[in-house]
Amino acid sequence: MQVAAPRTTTRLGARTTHRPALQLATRPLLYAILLVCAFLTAFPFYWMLIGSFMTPVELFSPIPHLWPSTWDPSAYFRVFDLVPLGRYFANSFITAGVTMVGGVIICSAAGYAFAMLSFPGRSILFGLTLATLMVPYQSRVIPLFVMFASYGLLNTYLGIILPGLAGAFGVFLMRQFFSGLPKELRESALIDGASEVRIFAQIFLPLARPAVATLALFMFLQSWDQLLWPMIVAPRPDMRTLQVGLAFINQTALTWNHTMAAVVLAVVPIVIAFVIAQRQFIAGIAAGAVKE
Amino acid sequence: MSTLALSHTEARREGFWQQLRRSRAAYLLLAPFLLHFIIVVAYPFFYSLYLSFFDASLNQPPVFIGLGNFVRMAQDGQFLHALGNTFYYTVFSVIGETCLALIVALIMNESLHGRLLFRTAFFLPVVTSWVIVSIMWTMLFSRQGIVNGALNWAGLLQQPFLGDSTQAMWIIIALGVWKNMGYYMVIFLAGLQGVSQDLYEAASLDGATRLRQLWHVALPALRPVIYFVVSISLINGMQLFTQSFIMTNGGPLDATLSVVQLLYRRAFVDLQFGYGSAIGTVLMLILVVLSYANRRVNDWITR
Repeated sequence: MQVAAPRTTTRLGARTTHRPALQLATRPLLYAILLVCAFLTAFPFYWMLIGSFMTPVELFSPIPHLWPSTWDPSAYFRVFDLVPLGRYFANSFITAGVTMVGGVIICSAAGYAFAMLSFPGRSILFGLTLATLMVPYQSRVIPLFVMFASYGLLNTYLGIILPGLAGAFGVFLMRQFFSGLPKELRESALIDGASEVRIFAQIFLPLARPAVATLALFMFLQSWDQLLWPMIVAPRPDMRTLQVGLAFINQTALTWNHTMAAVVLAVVPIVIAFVIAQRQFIAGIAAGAVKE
Repeated sequence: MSTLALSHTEARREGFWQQLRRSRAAYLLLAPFLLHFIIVVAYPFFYSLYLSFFDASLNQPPVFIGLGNFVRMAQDGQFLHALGNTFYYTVFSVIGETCLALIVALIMNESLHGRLLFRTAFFLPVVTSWVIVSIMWTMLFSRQGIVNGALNWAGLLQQPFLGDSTQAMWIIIALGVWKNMGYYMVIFLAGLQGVSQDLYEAASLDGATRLRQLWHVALPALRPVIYFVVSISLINGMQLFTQSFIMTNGGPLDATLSVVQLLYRRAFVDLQFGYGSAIGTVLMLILVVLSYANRRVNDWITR
């Protein structure tokens, strides 16, 4: 439901802005608090950006400079010689991309079945699915490694992708969405002689576009952000994902402007994606909250 | 009577099989998820419980040692230290994240200009990966970092920060609060928008001050959301790994060593899979107990 109507909620939110909710304190004070918080969250990003254009000498000046005296973009070229950043990016895009597509298909099919169809064992299976949210994945990392090692999945994309391909959160999100759609849609399609799988793929999945967008975003980010598992299952340097590669950058002796350039390059695509998909992102987070 | 009862059960059994056959499509749609669930969730879960009772390593048959791993853990000073660190991190990051996010959400719920811009600023850390924010903070708080630069500019004493065992943990806690604040703020904001305007109006007609409205209207309405935020924040806190792994590698002197990092070291540096699995099992039990306790506290307050 939440996911279905993010636009109306924001519109509602905008409408209520004319009526202050609580008026806790004078407005200047509230603005001041927000400005301080926003400065604290945004400033480190600003420092990365300007620092990546500075020379190491200027970066390390005892009184910090907040604006480069000359803009030197060489770090952005040099960092690709020092670290195989392109390879890291490619590995991350491949693994996160496959996780996103596979996860959307698997989770929406399961979510649809849980929401729309009745079958023996439905509540037990759904209960089990939710129970896994409590089990930390770190406690599964060792058996997974032993299993994957014996099946030759170490240092493969499949090995990195497989454990995160589907999850309880995605199934839950999709089930919530499909539960809000009219059941009559399925019944009338059944009368027309369509098969269940076709009804799901051709009628319900297209209707679920907003929820699918949210899920896709979360699957992608979750896979993109992983460190522990890819580091364990794919330790070979050419199989490192961006996060694993960057974690090792911190240990190699790069000068800071190069590290900062790498950080900026890694942050920019995600921030662009966020600005484009902001609505889906906020809706996804809020969906979790409203369930309780 | 008896024949009737028999035919009843017969009918029900037939109904069950029929139901099963009619549910073929449902199982077909569920199959990929269930297969994934069995292979990478359920089976490893039981396998890790099993390994907890064995002395196991790479390329050698596991040897059953009963509760040996757990006895060893109870006497392992490093494990107890890591457990203490993880609790310390969890307590203060949960308090910091919940309180700060709630305060900012209450402010963001007012009719202020530029809220979208503020929200974007608060979301920068949320969408950035833990690895990257950890690298950023390592540089911020390093010896030649900009925080020390600012202290120098203000004429204050420079600090060791990540090189000092007390300060290092507080920086990691601050990083947790800094990164998660925006995330929890959005959750609180969604909760606050569900609070009916009528409630505030009724309260103000009754002569309640702003602060009393906050205390008696907004906070009680938010209680389930607060419970939800504390639950996630608690689970995430106990799983501390990336930040301390990158910023301090558990140091100085194990001051920021977390349970998960110890699990990683034992299992993948020392190749003690049995002991590592036992650490994972204990972590899981702690999470179950904490979640249960959190629920009980919530029930108790609600009552």
